[in-house]
Amino acid sequence: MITTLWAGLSIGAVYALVAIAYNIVFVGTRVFNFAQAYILMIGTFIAVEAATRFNLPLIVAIVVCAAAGALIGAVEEIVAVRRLARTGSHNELVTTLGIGVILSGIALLVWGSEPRSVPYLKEFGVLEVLGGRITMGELLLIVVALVAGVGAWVLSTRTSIGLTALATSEDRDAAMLRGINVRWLATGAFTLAGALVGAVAPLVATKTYATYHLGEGLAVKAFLVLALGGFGSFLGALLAGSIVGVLEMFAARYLGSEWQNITVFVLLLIVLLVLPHGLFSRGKAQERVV
Amino acid sequence: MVSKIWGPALALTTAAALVLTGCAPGDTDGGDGGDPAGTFTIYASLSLTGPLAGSSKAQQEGLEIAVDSINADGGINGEQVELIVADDQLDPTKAVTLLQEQLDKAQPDLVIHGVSSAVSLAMLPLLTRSEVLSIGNTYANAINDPATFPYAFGTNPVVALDPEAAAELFADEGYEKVAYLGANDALGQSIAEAFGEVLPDAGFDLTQESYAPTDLDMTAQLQRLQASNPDVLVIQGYGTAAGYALESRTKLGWDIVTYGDGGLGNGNNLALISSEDDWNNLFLRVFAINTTEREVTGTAAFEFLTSELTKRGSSFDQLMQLYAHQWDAVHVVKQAVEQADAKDAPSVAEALVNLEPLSGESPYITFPEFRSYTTDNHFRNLSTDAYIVVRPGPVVEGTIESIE
Repeated sequence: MITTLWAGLSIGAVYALVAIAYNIVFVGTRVFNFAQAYILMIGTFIAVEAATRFNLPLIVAIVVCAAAGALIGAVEEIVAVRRLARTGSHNELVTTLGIGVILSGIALLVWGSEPRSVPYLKEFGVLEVLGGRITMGELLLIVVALVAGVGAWVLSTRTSIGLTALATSEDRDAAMLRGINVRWLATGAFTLAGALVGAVAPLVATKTYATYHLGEGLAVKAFLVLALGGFGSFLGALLAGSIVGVLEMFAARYLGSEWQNITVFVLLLIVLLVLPHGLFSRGKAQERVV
Repeated sequence: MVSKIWGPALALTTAAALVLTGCAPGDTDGGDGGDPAGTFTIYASLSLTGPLAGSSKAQQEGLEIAVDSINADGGINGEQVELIVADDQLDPTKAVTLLQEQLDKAQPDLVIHGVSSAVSLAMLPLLTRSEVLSIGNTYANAINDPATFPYAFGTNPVVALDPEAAAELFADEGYEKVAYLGANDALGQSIAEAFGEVLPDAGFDLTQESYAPTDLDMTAQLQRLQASNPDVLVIQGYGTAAGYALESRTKLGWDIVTYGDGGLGNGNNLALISSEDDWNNLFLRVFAINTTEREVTGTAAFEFLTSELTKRGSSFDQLMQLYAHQWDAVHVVKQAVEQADAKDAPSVAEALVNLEPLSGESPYITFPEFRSYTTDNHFRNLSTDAYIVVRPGPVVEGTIESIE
């Protein structure tokens, strides 16, 4: 059972990390960035290149992938989102999805359709932790998700930049009147979110391999986690990711694999019926609690 | 006022131009708007973009080399072969649309009906209505239906051959309880169904679990199977999902003797989706063509295919059968057309189910001892010894370099 728990927490950590990145962008810009999971996908391929072509150690690969993710995020905001800001048309959903599809196509063109594995952390083999079996990569994913979720919450509630982002997302016009450079804030949010998913990409690749269609599956699951946890809630994303991952694994283990997705969506329906804005909502019109 | 006139006028003019352009003869990859007398046309629907792009590229290379070889030898029944390749993007709807466009331009003599069973099944009704011969390496059971698709043939054996071979092997090894993990997509279900029929009939106690091709972790499914205390595990899968299944097995520390289904070894370069740590007690059941035990090495056909692949700078990163299947497909149709002395689908189909042995060295590579199709089986008639057991290893130039 503990092995099943670890498996659920590790896959939930992947969902949570993408959802946390979604939230960083959402909190800063009120935009839902569909491309986030696809930026992570690109990061996994860069991790493969870092490991196999340049023989870079893991820590250097993480920095390189974070930089790449940050760059992609910044370019995405400038090219696909900035012009649509404040038009009220929500076309950012479409353009960010389009960016995701473009990234997927680029990955297919550059790296082909065959999956690639990364050699990082293989030397640790499988570990016995609290009576269950888990790989080092999975353990680190759980730890990193925890740190990222709590860290993002602290950043957004205890630092001036985080509070500024919150203020901007609540009332952009008022923020502009107060002299906040909302444009740079938006670019910063996309950059930071891109850096986050880029940085975790080498770890994710140890579990998922680098494959050009990785983004599709993760995008949907992470959105589900976001809806469950509450849009804009970092702790909600962390908790919801864990719940979804664990529920998937336990459903598959004790009910059968055909129940995996059913149980998760039933949970989502129940939660949203009772708490329409997610687990970490105040129950009113506010879309987020951080 | 002016803009109210010019705007709609411009729109109408543009629309008319687009319609007229659409009515004009198209410009396809290799098509010439007609079927000149003296040409045998092959239309190949391949998924050159998408998850099967790698294997499609290999099949395209095998097709092109086969066509070049046949043309150099005088063609099919004296007619030079023209190859048209269409990218269906693994989309059944797109495949049918492109096929219809081709049929509207010029009916091909032979169609390669896709690289996935879903695409094949979408194309076959149209091909049957149009009386076009088709062949491919897709092998879902529904494709092998001579009553419904009389002009459709396959280069792979029937799905049931895989579990029949497994049953023989497991009986020899003294196994009684078998655990099976496979994908729940169309092909995976077809294979699971076959295992679910054959193994219990052969006296085995079978437990089955499935995974979605998008699943990232199969720990739970393997734990369920582990709870049934089997003697042997069978893993079916293609691509990353197969890798996750093997990794999950390693993570559980479950060193049960594990066999791949025919697809695991014949369809994957395991070095890309797993590591040696995952190959503990793992055995692949594959066709000899993909291993160093192939018997066609040194034959004219095999040497021509491999030397041409090298000359063309092929990445040669797929299993040999992907290059060889389409070579065999074109050559068996050549044999049937020349035997029938006709190229219409009914005549060629009749010849395919009554193929006469060839004299001289076999032109076939995947299964050199070719046997005729039959009226109720349009897939390859093979016996269970078509599968051999090897240890896994990386694929180098189409060959599994087994460890140990």
